[in-house]
Amino acid sequence: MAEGTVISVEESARAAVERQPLVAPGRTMGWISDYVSSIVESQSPRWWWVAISITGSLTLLLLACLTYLVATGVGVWGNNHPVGWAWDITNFVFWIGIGHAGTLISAILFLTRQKWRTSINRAAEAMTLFAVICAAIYPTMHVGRVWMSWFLIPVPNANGIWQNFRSPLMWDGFAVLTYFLVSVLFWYTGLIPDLATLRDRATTKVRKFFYGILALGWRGGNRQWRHYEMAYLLLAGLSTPLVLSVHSVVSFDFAASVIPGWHTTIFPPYFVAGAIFGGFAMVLTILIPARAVYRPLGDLITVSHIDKMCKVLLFTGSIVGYAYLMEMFMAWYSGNPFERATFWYRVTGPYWWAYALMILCNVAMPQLLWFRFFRTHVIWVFVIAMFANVGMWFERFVIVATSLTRDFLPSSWGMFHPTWVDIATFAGTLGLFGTLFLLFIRFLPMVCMFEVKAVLPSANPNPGGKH
Amino acid sequence: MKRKLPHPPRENHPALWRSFAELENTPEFAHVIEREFPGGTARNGSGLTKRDFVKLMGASVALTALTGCRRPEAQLVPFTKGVEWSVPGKFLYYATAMPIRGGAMPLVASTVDGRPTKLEGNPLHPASNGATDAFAQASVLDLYDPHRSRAVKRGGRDVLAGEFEAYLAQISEKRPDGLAFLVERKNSPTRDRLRGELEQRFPGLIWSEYEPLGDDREAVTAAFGPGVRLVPKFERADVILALDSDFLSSASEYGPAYAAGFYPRRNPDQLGAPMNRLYVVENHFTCTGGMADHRYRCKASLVGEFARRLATRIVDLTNHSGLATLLGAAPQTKADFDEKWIAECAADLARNPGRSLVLAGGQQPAWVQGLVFSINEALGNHGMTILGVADEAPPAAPLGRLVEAIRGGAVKTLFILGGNPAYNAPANFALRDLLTRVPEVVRVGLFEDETSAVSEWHVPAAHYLEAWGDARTFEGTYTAIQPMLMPLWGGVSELEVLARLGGNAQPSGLELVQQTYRILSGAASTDPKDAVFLQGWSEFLRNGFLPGSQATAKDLAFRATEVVRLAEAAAPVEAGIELVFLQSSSVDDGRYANNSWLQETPDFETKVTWDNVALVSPATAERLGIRANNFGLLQKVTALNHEVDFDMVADLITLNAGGVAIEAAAIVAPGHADDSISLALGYGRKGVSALFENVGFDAYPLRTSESPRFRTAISVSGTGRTYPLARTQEHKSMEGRDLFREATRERYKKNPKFVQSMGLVDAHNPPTTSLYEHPRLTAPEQWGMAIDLNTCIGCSACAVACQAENNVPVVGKAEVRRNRDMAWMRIDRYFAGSPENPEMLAQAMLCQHCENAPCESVCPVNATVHSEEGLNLMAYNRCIGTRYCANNCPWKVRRFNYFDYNQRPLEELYWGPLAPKGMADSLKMVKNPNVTVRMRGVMEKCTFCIQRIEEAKISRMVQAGPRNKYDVPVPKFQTACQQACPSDAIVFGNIADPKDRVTRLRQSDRGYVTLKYLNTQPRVTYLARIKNPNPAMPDAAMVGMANGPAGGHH
Amino acid sequence: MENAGNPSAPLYGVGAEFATAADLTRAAREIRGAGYESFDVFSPFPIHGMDKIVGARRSPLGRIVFIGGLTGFLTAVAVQYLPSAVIYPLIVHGKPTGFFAIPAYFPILFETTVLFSAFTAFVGLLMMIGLPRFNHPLFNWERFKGVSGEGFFAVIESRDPRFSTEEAGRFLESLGGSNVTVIHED
Repeated sequence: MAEGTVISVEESARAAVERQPLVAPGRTMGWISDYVSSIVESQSPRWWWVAISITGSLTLLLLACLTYLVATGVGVWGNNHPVGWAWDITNFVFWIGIGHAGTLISAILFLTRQKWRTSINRAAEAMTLFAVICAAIYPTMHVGRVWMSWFLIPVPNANGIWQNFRSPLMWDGFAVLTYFLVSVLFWYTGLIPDLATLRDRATTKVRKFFYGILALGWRGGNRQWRHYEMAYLLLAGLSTPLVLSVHSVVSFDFAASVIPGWHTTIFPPYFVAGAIFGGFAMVLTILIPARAVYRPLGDLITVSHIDKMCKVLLFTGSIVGYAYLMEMFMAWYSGNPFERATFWYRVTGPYWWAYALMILCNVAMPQLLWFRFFRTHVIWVFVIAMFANVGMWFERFVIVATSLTRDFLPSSWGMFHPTWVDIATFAGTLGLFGTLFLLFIRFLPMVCMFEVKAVLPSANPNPGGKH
Repeated sequence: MKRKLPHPPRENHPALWRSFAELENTPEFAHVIEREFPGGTARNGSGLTKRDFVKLMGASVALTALTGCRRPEAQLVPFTKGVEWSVPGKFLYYATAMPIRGGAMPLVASTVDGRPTKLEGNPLHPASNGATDAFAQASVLDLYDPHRSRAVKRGGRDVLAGEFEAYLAQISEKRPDGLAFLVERKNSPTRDRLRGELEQRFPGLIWSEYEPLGDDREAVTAAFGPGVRLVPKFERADVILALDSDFLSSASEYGPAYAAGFYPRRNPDQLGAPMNRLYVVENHFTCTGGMADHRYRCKASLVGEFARRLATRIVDLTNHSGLATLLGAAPQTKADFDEKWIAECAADLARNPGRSLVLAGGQQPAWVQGLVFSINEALGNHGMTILGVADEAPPAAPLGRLVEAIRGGAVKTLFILGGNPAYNAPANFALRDLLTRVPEVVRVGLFEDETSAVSEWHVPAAHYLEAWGDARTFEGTYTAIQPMLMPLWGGVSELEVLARLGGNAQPSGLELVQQTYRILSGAASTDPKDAVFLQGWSEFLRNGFLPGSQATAKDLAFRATEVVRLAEAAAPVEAGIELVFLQSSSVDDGRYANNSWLQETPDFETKVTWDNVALVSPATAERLGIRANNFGLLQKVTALNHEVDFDMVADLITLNAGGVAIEAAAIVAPGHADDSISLALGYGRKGVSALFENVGFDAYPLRTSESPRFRTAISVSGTGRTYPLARTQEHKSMEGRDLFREATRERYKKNPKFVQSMGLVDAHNPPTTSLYEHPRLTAPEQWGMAIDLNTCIGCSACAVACQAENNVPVVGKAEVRRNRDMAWMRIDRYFAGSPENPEMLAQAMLCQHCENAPCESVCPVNATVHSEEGLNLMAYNRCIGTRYCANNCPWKVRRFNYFDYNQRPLEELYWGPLAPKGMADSLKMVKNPNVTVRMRGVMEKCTFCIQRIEEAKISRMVQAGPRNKYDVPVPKFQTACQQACPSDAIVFGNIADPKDRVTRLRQSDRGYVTLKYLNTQPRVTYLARIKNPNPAMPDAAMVGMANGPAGGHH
Repeated sequence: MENAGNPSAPLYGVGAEFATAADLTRAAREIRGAGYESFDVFSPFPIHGMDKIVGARRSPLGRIVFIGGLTGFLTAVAVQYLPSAVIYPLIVHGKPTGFFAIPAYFPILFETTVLFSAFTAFVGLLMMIGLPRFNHPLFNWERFKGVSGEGFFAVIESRDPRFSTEEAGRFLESLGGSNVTVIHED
């Protein structure tokens, strides 16, 4: 019996090593190039036109709302006197948080040699960029005098006043801008070999020209690869602390204030965990339908990938849940009655429903992912990811807006009510995000082809030998 | 763009211009003017074209503070030549006064380039402590109100002003019968003199005065004979009982000095005189009730019964026979009172004979007032705490007599000078219908209103800042009312109309007043060449009053039999729900309905703006099914904590009496008497002005001449509908946060440092320390403020003064509902105790000018930084509007311009660029030129009136000349709020100067800063409120307990 | 041997196609073993260990990026510290303006350092690999288009001192290369 056990352990160990290939068996390099490129090369399917007309309309709505906002005043939103920041900053933090999964997948998992990242990093990075674009709209447009926002740039000016580098908003501006630019570079660097593929496969003049320009003349020689790999490694190395810093800095917007519910030292790690949680949820939200539409993608983005992402979701969701508990505990333990009152109002006050939704979506629902069943059934994963998306929005709303509704002086307490412009602007950013993603699907390879090829068994330069 | 002045002025150019468009005189601009003055000033034929008007504006700067001499108009010069005394950018100050019901409020008007922008109290005047009230502060806006009437109308059509003058001349000449006057109550010797002349000219003339609010003089006349006025001496009273009398906020009645004697006696630290004790019996919270040491909730209709029971006790204690006789005659009503309360209050009064003071509200029935006079008589207060002075104003016919005359057809021509009787006369007179029966009604008024609609003639009236006048203040001082500019829209003054009727073809207000002055001052002539006259007259104008002209003292001879007669005529009060008619803290009796500053000033108790609401006690609300918190659920209102007014919608109820029904939105008012509903007058006007269309509810239809204060036996029913309200403060409780701190006198004596033990975190934390050294503020002046909560009554005068001084915009009801009011200074009002009978706490809240200001570090563009003088500065042109500073302000005193409130019509804010841009020219004139008018998208907040600080510093530099400027002290000046405060609760100054009053107050035992634990080091210190309860009273244990029985130790 | 490009144009080199990454790796080792210096191997993805085989040194990009990052750091110091503490000192929140204000400058110091480093990495990469370059003699070779799909190529360049068209072609063929082609410069 003992012997049998040993054997079974050995067998299962071997199985563990061999199980779940990163790409479904039988998919060759040629197939990968052909299939991934064909998505870009074929005619746009009808669903694509339907989808983009919806998201495009929403994008136009966004433009209309922003025009109205700038022409009329911030008052078209529901922001008011205790609640100076409401949906604007809620949405900003929501979107910037979503961005984090992309960089995490492409940089941190790269550094930690997680090969499963290769199938999803391209889409996740694209998602990062689009989310950051959506996010950047809010801090830019929410200021009272948009046309004066160049005051934020440290250039000599007639006012004889320099910027205040103590302001977390200044940090925020630098962090978001840096994050966006570095993400663009990282993404584009990763795209170059694949753009070369599209260039090489191009049949029309326009495509040849377009992808030819974008591919910069990539040839895939070892002389290029060795610098390329170094650059990619450096960018990954730079992005890793960057991604951790960005949401930390965003959290400083609140943590560096004096407002109960904002002034919390737990915020940086808690925000980062929340961002990864929300980001992975959004990656799943996008990839699961993409996989359903482009069925063969299922061979690249396998259930195993989804399973792994679910584990990340479960892990970060639990961190977030722990942070919620810690906030409560610290408010109580601090003995500061203002802190206590704020957190008590979160749970029992007029916005209790937002808090309850947040707990349900971010803490309770992800617990289902302890079960393999939920992790491997994409419908369930999709549902849970949707919950996480909603929950993360509410988490930001609870922190940003509801903390402001009740702070130090009861005389100044006041509720927040969104206006139609608030709602339409948010819907508009969803539309913009969707539009950008649909364009991405149509014009750029959704999966990082060269990296997937590199993890195929046939890519091994020493087959049979020790790696 | 280079400014080009037309020189020499050409004929078709205005000599003065207000905008480049006007300067260029383009057709487009002519069109704009056309739109701007739809009534058409240029067409009213008064000879005053708009061009003249701007000239005259300039003209008025010829008035100088030094000589007080107004130059004859013939010598007026346009602004293109330098006007003597006028220095661009410098204010000129003139003494004047605002006519009020009880006389006048002495004022100093600040004018710049010939236009008054700000009114202050006249500190030289004996009937003023240099303070004002909210109404006076806002009255300058009325002057510039673009809705004021501009054209003389006859039968609804515009006519030339000359036609009206001819009409007056014709009456004067033909002397027809049936002439009657209906005027506002004023105490104007010139008007009285002209009235006397008219009464000789027109023997059958009826002169009637009507005021919907204010004291009824019937009881005083009955009790003390005609020609007597009562002047209470609060500074002499140790114990004060106010029966439905809001004497602390009666500045609009008698001027701010009326109750000024009260405040020094509230100071627990003052040596010599003991702190006074205030008992208040009232049905709803007034400012006075908020200050009370003991407050008793009592239906307004039962105040008489309350006084009777009190008198019974006092008779027991004093054996005063006159009072005993009166008690036999007074009507008795069944009522349950706290007899111990009455007994102990009576005992306290009786213990202080000659040092006590009992006051009854002037609108209470005459017999109640007579009874109170009798109580004072029994307590020996007459001649001690209540003085009598001669009232020189001749008696006028009450409105009732005029109404009878109209009904009898005796009135053929009725002049209605000021007021709005068609709207606010007692409902039983049905005056609006009655006026149509008078053949000729001539109405002189500021606005084309309800009365104009039923008048043959409507003539625009001159604002008091536009016309000469005079008045006696409540204690009789003869006071000048000087115009600051010529009538903007060709209004005529009351005096001019009266003089024309008296046969004066070209009356000059100046001469009319000069004649009266000559009589009163005993001067020989009014010849301008007479040096003696000129000297006296100049001083009169410069000081604003005639020294030594106070009314002579009169012994108060109490006529008990007359008072008994009043009491015998009275009947017991009907049971059931009563409706109490209040003076609105925003629109008075409706006269300020068009004043947006006042409309947006929250009511001191309910914090409702732009509306009046029916106040109901929690218990009555529950009984009537009125929802407390408008949450859609009938919530329990027994706890003040955790109570949320979500959407600020109130239940609409119907109030029905005698077949007349009105609707009103009802809200639950803590501390209100049960079975009583209070509703302020002056709202709910329809079809008069866009500004107050659909604003509030009209209570006048239920008000009758028999009982102006209350109506009994009201039936109340719900309508099932709701009404949106705009409130600036939703939460009632302080949530145990000890922002407002108070104690009793006894506890204060025992533990003078008690405030330091209060505050949630403040009291327990070790002293807050900083990691690093703070930059030292090196300027010799370090500005700071102290606010004494012991004397702050929450009257909002400071808030309106701030609005006037600092060009704070009005946002309108819809925006207030969205919590976007812009007030830099607000009065936070909390209730403490049981919702049935709580204490009301009023705390003036403004930028605390923290030395370590949290707002500063979060601004990315350094738009808010600190000055060397400790001011938290705000650079509007640097601000981009991130609103982070407002979020990070623990006091939430920063205000963000969510829209272009100054540039767009308030009802079209959401139209953005599609709405017309720009504000009415006349409203531009009220702006303080020393304060930036903020645009949308920037943050603003209290600056400690930095323009005044800088002005003072500049004049120091001028004084210092070549010397080191710091050797010269900064001249004394006040912030706008400080200057307006009638109770001297706000003190501003240099905290680096150990001799400065503010420094001493900051070091007072009562001094504390709010939210100390944040270590922001506010520059605003509050002085804790000390209450002086009578330990024998049944509610003594509940007094001074706003911070809980443990006094802050939580 | 086939020709790619204009045969009259100068010679670029001789290339051959290999079937798998393993074949290419072996070929590269042989080519290097034969003493060739100027040759390159082309693959759709970076082949693990190829650097060592072809004898390439470690990419110097890291050192360049360090300099870029340092520039960013110093820029941030100059933009933040000097104006805030020296040129326009203001009292803000009662906080120090001198050395002790530095904690507040940290986030931007970090972000700017990263930003400059990333740009240096990207621009440095392009410079080092000679991009952007929109044409190249290799693009004349029709089969070379497979390099981004599943093709593996080795090219011996004409500038190698040991280069001779015939020999190189034969040598590549002997290593198992197919479609040996002579590539011209245009």
